Amino acid sequence: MASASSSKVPAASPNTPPDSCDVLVYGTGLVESIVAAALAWQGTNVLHLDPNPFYGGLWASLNLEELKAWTDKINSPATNDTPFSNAYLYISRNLDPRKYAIDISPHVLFTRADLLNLLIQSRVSRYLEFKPLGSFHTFEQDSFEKVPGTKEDIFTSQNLTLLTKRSLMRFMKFVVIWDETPDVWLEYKGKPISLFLKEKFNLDEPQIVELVHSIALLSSPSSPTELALDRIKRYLSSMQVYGNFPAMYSMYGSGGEIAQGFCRSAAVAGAVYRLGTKLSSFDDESGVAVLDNGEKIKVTEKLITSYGLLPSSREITRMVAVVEKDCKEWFAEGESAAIVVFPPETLDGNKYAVQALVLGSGSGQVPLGQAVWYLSTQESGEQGRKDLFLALEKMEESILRESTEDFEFDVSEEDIAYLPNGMPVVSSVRLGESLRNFTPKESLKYLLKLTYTQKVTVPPPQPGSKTIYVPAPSIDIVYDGVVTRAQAIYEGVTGTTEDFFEVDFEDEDDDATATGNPPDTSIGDVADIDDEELGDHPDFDEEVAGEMTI
Amino acid sequence: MHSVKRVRTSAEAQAAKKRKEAGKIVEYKALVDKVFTGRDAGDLSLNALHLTTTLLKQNPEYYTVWNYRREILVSLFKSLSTEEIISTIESELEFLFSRLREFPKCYWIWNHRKWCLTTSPKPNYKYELKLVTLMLERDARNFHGWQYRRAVVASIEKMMKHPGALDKSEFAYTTAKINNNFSNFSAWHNRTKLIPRMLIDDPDLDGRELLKKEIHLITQAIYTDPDDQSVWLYHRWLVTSNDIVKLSTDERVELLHQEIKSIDELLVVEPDSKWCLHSLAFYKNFLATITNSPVDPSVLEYLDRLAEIDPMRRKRYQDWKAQITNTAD
Repeated sequence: MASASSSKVPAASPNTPPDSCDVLVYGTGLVESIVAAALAWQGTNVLHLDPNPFYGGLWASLNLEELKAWTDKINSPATNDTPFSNAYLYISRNLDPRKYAIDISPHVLFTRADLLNLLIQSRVSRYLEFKPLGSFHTFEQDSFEKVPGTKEDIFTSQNLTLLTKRSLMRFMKFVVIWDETPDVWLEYKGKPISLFLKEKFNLDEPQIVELVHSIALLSSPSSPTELALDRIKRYLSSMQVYGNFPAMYSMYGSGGEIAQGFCRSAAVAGAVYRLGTKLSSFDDESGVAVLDNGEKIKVTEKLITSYGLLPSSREITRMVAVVEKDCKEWFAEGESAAIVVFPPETLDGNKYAVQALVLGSGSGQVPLGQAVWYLSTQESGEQGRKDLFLALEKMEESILRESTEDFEFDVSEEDIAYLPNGMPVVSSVRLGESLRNFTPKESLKYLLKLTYTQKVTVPPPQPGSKTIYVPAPSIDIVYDGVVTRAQAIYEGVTGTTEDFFEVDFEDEDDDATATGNPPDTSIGDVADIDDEELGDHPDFDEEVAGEMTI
Repeated sequence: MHSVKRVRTSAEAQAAKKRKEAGKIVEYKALVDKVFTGRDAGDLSLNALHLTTTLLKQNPEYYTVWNYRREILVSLFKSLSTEEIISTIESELEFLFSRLREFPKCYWIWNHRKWCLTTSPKPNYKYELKLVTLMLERDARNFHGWQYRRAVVASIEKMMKHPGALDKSEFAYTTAKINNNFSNFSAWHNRTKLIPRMLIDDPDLDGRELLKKEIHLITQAIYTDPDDQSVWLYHRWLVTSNDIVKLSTDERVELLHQEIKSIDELLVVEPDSKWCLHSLAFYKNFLATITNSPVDPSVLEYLDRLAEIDPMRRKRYQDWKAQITNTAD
């Protein structure tokens, strides 16, 4: 468990575990923890173990001490039950290990995701804190372009032609109802999305790249049309649900934190927890589980495990870098996160897109003045590492240029647009041009660098077996599929998904959830304005007060 | 607020609600009776003021009660010192802010607020500008807010004895609101009020240049969302009015040709756009009027097409067409 975490987790039970249980869940990753909570609330007698001393399993957020131990472990030839391997870790001296929470499988959440609905329905969301993520950038022609993901972005964009603006808007209006209008796309089913966008909507290469890689977060331009449309809709329909951003992330760590929330919920419903406890063996016939201290537990129904050697189809490559820069240049106003995508063929012939999630200190994962960059690619081996290092280099160049203060550039009045609060912003095209010709003198300090590979595992079908395997987190930076997987496992145990989290939470005020809609935070916030906030309003104080003497 | 769906309640829930409300209605009616008995008796006491507070909290639309409230305040002010009047108005403004948060589109609250400011011996318009900025942040399309904002800005400039002092920042503010969501009749309308004033306040401002920039801006909006009526309305103001620059007939004709060409290009990719067709018909008709020449026959085709795609207004297009053919005869 990450020490930076603020959430309270049930203390692992010091008591001896019961000598029998209905379901033994082994591993406290996100999927298993959702299943454990769902089963516990349904009335199943759940024992939940994890061999690690922290929660989160393959989804954990680790402090630096835990991270060192974790890399040693996955590198050890004796370890054969984890999909991770091949870790190279550098940590700068004199860092306070407890001030960091490094995700080993970082994820973000679109506001229309099924996981968010489940978090609200199960009330686990109250154990967590979420922050907005509105900045999506695409690496194009050696600079980072902000993705035009809304009507307002398209309207104010200074690098789109009038006809492109029209085509993009037509596409965006279509894509939110794409599943109801098959006549438009059916002939492109299974064909590359890039072909569809070009032929049906007259979109040009740069817009296709942004839609496919940054908005849909797909790795390859030849992804099937129907998948890409679904992904693009996911982004667009997630805008304006809670505010001017499509995605969010949980503070102090991603999947591991959410998993802890579900564990806490499961414990409230009566599940028993024990961390740092290894399962030595499990007899599928008799259902007898033996723990590393020799204790024997009779499992009457199922063993659900995320550990063990699963068959794997391929490998993906991941990288983590902590830098001594706040990286606020990449974040939207008031935010502390951004996604940067390097499309294929932008990094010396990379075949797959490289995705980078950037989190600032507002995420609670790194101290003030620092940021953590999570990079990943579907490419494996040396090529995968090469792609990631090239992307890292580009990010380094970009942040040094953008954060330099003694940099002057020429802009005329037409290059300046205004934000809603009246703050002027400079057109990114013009800025990009000026920036490309600029060489910063400063260099970037890396406080931590970590690369590792991860196997994409496929659980084998186990007809008639007591054991259910949980696959490792996917390469996807988004939690999609997690709830579906948890439901499938739940069904494997109970035979139905009908009562999945069908919980009548007693002595709770129903008002907030009665309508099924999450409370509208943006309206609520404004409704709470008081005189003090009035006094702080920048629109007035900066622009008017100076000129006025009343 | 715009585009918020009304939630329909079931008959059963409605019945339960009605029973619950029955008691409240009796109380409310008694309160109304009490307030009006006081008014008929000429009661202008502090107690009468408190009664109107209670009533207006429940029903801010009752404008007669707001009128009565002002009668009471005017009468009370006679016996108060200037300091006391200021502080009474301050608490009045506080009360109004809480009402506005709940009922941001009630005419009478905004109206009463304006009265307070003009009545106060020491109005704080600076604060009012911040308040209306916040109200427009909550709902950028609240025309009450925009109207109030113009009044506040005018008062500030008057007090500063500097007409146009806020022109630039108000222009930037309107631009920012439009950039945030250009489907906003009120923000575009504010621009039509602001721009002519800016040209008067600053003789160095080049109207032609400004018109060019505004046409560039609105064209971006038209191409982004041709289904939005507010952008076409602003476009029409730019193209047909003399408020920005007084154009000669030749210049006007040139501008119309230029804009007709631009909309024609949009029509190629959006052949079914109602507002494209509508604007083309309007501008070509307008062109014929100012040049004293016959209407271009394509207008009749546009109107036929409009009658097809917008059947609810079919007769209107037919009537328009008849007018053109009659004039031609």
